[in-house]
Amino acid sequence: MNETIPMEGIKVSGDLIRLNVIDASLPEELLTRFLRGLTDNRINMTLFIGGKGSGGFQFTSCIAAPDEERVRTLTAPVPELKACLEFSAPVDLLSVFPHQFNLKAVGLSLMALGKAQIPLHGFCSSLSALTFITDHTDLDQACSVLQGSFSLHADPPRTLC
Amino acid sequence: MNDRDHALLDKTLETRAAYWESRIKTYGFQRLTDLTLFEITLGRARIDSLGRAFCRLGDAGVGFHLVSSRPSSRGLEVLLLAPAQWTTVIEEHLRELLEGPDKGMGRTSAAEMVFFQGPHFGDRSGIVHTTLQALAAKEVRITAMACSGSCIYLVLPEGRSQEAVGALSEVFEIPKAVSHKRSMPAG
Repeated sequence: MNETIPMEGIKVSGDLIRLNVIDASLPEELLTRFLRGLTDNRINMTLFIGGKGSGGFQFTSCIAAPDEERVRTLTAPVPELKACLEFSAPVDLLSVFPHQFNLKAVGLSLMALGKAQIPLHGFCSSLSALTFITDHTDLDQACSVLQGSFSLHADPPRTLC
Repeated sequence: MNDRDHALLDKTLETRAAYWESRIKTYGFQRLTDLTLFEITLGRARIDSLGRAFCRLGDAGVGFHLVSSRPSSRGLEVLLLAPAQWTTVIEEHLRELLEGPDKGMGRTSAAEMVFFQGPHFGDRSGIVHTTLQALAAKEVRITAMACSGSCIYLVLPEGRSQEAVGALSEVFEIPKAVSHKRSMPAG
């Protein structure tokens, strides 16, 4: 397990907040209304991870921190929606790439973050990157433990493939 | 130009641009079948154990198509989508997570996946909304959705991915030559 695997880079996307529906489930109609509001206001979700439960949809997403007030404003008139949505403290997205669909890359990352007791609020793979949601207050430590888990270039590229 | 001219230019020449299409372009839909979806709910303190299990699976040569996790009231809900050929091996390696006093909960099901990308998908609004609206219009039910980077992933119950591609094709623009291309399985 001490073996490291090569990664080409690490990227940080900051100035984000997390927007969740965790303890409730959004009925389809409310989810659509919420997403239409974001679209109409041109609010982008940097990350979206959702799943369907028995009572509706649950998700976690990340939006730019400056958009928080606009989201609060557009959800305020809908009490059922407002009651379901949780806004978190500032978070960052840390992406390492390329994962090459290797579960060991996922495993090493989780072990490193878990061992360092860095709260993890979600993660997701894409075609090239593994992206982790961590608190902004843990950014430096999270970067450090992820860099320590992989054989990164001395000056890793900051652009994401 | 003096300071006043600069101030005037700052106010009048600001350019705001946004990428917009009447019909959102994609690079085509990729459809994968013969997959198994592993859904695991476990306490946050066990993330290290999950990492160890994934490392062992990686060492065993098991690949994946999608891995994601989001918070739930019981900790983290983790999805692992992999080729069905690895089902038994993965179940064996995840078993220890589902045993013991602080055991997690697990579920395994046959699944399919559709994923796609398009221009500027990573930094523009409305893609998730359009996707879910297109699926709802045809009553296509998804199991999970993940959007990270510039890619949209849809996890569907077995036998439903073709319907999903059909529904999405009515709303999104697709290049004809690659509209239903199937990519290589991982692992």
